[in-house]
Amino acid sequence: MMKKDKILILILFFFSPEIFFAYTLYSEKASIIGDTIFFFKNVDFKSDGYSLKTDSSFILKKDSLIFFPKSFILKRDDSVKILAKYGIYLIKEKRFYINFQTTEKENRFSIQSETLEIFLDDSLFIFTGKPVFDNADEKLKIFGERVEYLKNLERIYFKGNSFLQKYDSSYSIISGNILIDDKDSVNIFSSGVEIFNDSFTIKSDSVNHYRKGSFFKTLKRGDIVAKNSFFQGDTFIFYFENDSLRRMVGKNNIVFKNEDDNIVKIVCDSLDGTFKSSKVDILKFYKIKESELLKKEKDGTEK
Amino acid sequence: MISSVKYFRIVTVSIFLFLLFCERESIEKVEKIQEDVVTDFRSEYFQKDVKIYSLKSDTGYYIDSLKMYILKNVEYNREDGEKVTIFAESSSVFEKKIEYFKNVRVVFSDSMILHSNYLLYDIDTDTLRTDDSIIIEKKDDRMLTKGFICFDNFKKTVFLSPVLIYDEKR
Repeated sequence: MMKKDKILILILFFFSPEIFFAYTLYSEKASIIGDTIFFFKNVDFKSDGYSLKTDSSFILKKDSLIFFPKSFILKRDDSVKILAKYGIYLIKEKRFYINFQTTEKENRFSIQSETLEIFLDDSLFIFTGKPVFDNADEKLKIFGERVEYLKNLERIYFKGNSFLQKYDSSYSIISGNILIDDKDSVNIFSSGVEIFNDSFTIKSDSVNHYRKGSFFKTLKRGDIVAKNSFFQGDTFIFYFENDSLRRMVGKNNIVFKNEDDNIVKIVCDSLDGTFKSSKVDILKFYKIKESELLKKEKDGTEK
Repeated sequence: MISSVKYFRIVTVSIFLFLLFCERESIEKVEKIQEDVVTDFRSEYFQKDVKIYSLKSDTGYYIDSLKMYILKNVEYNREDGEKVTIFAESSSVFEKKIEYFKNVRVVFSDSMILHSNYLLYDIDTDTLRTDDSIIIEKKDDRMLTKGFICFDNFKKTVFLSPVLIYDEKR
């Protein structure tokens, strides 16, 4: 009787991590060598709404680690699919560490990277090693340094220098940080933001892109630099139609400078401009406070 | 008792090593079958009948399972927009991207040369990017920085970190 109890305690002790950090692992073949359990053929791993299918794996009981040495497909119940070359699962921490992978969210986006960590309890995905975000619907890619995807909040953070590029090069954005809020359909760019367009460059420390209305809004004083013109203002709103710029609205403390045949300087409260083929069509200034016209002489001197 | 434990350990380790050896052998065999050696590689990329770039290499091979080429001594010639040539010791060519490794040189038509050890070219967005350290050579000036992006038909180049100018003679 005592011997049976001891065996039962031993079995419970051996499988205690599985009881506290619940997961299941099935396979057609398995073998135990010392402290390691090998699984072969149609391996199926399940934990916390995640399921993984691969050819082989092994568990190191001492270190509470599961190795997946061959390519695998990891799926989350709610439409997230990961294709990876290899990875490990840390049982006690409930964390995946995956190498050379592509994460796909059905009909939304994909993220490729050299490494991916998944924290199961927090539904947090951290991508490092040249992560590339691809949204085929919106025809854009973002190249980042570190990407954090909070699945429960449907938010994606790009930390460090990130670069957004449209497939058709209609515009490109460099930003210190990017936050994609999928629920509210807003992309928030912060820290050294530069938006490059065919005709000008927008510089500001904070820019929001409202995807539903298809417009950009600068939230901190920004500069717009064109070939011969320069704008400065507290807030600018840029309206896009089919990815090409249609209208620009500027508000509060607008400074406009143009240097063609003459030098024009206008200080006003607001401005409204329309564009045709990404070039200024009409530019209207409201509540002008100051205006200056300097005629250029032929030798280039101002008068 | 002690000797039996030792014996058990030796057997366990031998079985493990045997399994590992078997596994490695099979992987190597599969990879060898999948590799196709390529010599004098030439490739051209067009978009709406406009030649965007051409790519050539001395040797390399194609890995069927990964649908990629691994090429050696690569030369990329940009035909559309800014004339740019890229040289690298090796390159991985995928369906949607080209990666350049080791002694990567990006030569611009205005005499600027960028030296790096890694470069990524994304075909969809027509963008060059690296996060690695770069040496910039322009006429007699030499500069150091980390990371750059080249886009808009290769007409725009943006450096991602502050650029340090240095004088080699000092």
